[in-house]
Amino acid sequence: MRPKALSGRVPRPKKSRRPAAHRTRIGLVLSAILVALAIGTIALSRTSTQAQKKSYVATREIILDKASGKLRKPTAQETDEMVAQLKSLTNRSTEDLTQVQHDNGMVSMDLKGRFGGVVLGRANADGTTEVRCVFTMEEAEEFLGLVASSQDQ
Amino acid sequence: MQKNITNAKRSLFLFAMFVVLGCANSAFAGATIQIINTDGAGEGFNDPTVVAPVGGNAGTTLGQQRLIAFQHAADIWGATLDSNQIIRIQAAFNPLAAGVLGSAGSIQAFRDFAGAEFAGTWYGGALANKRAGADLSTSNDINAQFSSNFNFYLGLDNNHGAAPDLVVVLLHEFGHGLNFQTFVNPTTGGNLGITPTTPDGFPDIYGRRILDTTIGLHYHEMTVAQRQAAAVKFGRIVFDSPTVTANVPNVLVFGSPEVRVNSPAAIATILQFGSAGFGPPLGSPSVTADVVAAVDPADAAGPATNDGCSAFTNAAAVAGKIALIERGTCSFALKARNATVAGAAAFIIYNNAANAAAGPPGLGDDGVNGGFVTIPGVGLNRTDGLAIVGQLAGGVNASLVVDPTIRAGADALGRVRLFAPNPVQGGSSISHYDSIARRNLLMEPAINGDLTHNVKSPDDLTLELFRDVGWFPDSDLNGVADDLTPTSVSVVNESCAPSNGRIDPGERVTVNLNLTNNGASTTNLVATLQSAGGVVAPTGPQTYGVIAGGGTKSVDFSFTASPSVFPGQTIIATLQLQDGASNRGTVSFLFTSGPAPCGGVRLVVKSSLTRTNATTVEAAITVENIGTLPADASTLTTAKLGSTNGAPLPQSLGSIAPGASATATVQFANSTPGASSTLSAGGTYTGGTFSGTKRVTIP
Repeated sequence: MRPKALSGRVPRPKKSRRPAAHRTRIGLVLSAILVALAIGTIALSRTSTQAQKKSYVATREIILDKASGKLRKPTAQETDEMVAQLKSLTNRSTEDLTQVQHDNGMVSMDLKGRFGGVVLGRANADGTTEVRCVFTMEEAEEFLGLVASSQDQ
Repeated sequence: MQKNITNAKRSLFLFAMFVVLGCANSAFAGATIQIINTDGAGEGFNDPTVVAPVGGNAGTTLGQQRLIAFQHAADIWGATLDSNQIIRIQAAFNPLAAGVLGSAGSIQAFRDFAGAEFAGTWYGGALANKRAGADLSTSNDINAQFSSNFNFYLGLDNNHGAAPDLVVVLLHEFGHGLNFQTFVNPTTGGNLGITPTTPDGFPDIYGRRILDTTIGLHYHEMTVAQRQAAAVKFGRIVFDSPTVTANVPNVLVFGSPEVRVNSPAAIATILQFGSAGFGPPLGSPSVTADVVAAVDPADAAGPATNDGCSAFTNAAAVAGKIALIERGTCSFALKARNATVAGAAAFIIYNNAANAAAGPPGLGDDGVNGGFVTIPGVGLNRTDGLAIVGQLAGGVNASLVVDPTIRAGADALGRVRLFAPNPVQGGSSISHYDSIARRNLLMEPAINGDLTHNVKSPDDLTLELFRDVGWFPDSDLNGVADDLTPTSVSVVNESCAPSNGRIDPGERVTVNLNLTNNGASTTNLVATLQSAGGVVAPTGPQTYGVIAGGGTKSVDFSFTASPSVFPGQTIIATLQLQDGASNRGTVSFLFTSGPAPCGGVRLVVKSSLTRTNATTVEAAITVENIGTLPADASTLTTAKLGSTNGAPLPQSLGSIAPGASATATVQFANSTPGASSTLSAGGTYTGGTFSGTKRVTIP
């Protein structure tokens, strides 16, 4: 039996990458996955929402310029790319995360790529790179020297 | 960014493999961790750019070296954890933005499954599968992507120089995916799984061990507001974990740098601080004194009377005390210089209104005044600074010390501290060890350059934390935690000069292996060191005898480290345990090999697969000697594709001189192109054996 979502949306079956025997076992374990429980629809966190409205300027020299061998700030384009990517990678919103109730009592949740650690690096003048693991946009801003531009404050 | 796995699997594997004799960690692993390459042809793991071997990574293309490094990190965790379920990490290299090196995390979370230690508690996918003893989902367990624009060090020997070591970074990020994280949002205090009918959601297994020492409650016992408050209680949030606490003395050194307000009681606490990049370090000397606000003229140097930008007008009051100065207008170093001139014993600079939301500032030098500063000092955030200001009228006493009785990274009771800065730093808060730890730990937010590839005591405390969130040792994979667990190791004798306290490749050593018995007393425990995992010619069975419940005992074993182990690689010493008639399974001790090879044979196996017709594939198996001695009478004796034996075998490879190689061609009956399988090969030479395994997609 296929899983159903409470909202009526049926999670799209994923292509199995397992051998047939493995799939059979999975089928036994998860046989007859039933009705989805509830949908944890929670508002986007305040901070994430704020981050999405901001535009940023780079204030810190974090890139070792290959041509000059000197540290420089990210260009405007690099900053835009950085911010766009970080907004996606640091998403910790629980919006649209669905709890699925299985018939054996288990509940699962696809985290949709959220709640992961993000590895950042900033170059030092001595040629080393400082590496930091962050989870949020705010911390990434602090580490990389990204500051919301004043016109958006 | 995510790529189609079906397409990726067509190009899944790299046809050159690297396996070092006797060092395939996965062969001895308690868990198998697979890297699922989701890159398309010609990119990421499949990048065909030709590169030179580096640091034991014998891949010949950039893509191969990336994949080998990934699998190496996975194998280190695989050799350390126990699970009868394959852990699958779907991975890719993508052109990420400048400054963004990668990301990783659990793909799914589970609760209330059979085998869960606690009901109503979230577990990450890999750990949930381990606990359940079953694969709970058809999806992979961990997702990882890293930047193809960034030049990581891809060697396996941790000799990374200025470049970040990819293996270490991966060990850290895989650690989060293996459940070194809470799913609680530290900014809001909210659990995962909040619904109208479950307004507090559900706690997670990591959070159940998070203890706020100021209120004596764990995360799952707290209200949302209490969790929110706990996330910013610097120095007072610990991981309440018996295994970690027991190993803290093996890892963290005495001498905890601390800033404390001692009185009045209303604000007495440990404070988070930023260090000064000039003057003597904290503790040189340790200072305990009253705090006095510095007063200086409101002049051109600084418009406020508390900015410390001019010579202090209350030098007599400040002398011998801790000078309190507000940030702003002039440099940190000038403020500190003025405090020095006034005769202060130490200084504190707290954030001004313009930096009210920022954490404690690190105090950088201005290149002029720092050289004149002879007293220690720190930066504080504005909240803490104003709290002190508000009590000055009644007197405030504080300490800027290195406490010799507390281990750096632990609290006074020896419990490891979690990173809980103020302001909160999202998931980095709570989901990392405190950055104050010394030695540096793998799971601090900063991934430091001095980290080893060892993830457990005495080099690290990550495995110990995993033990207490559910990655219990279960070497017989029966779902029941092993009673006998490895506690500590030490090298007590070395054959190669100079003695360096490490096990160098090719070296004969004696090691002391300490076991803890968490169950009932043993009667006559006998341990046999296995010839595997880089261990060659071990001594025979040794007797631990009676180990009382809760007790520990140490016994010496001798062995030779395989000469083919490369410096920095993990050596795994596995003991088979027998107590009378009872087989007690195995325990493993991990060592990081030393930097000075004693010489010997080092064989590297490479292979490629091609299809010759609809029913036959052919493997070219090349054995290369990268050691210092010849490998005489080398013979390829086994070659298997999955369970299918190759032919013809055996094949003589002759004597392989250092730097030389020999190749044998072996054919397999096979008619399943595109299938995933395992190609293994092995053989002998005078005085030793070699073997190697790699995952392949059949052409």
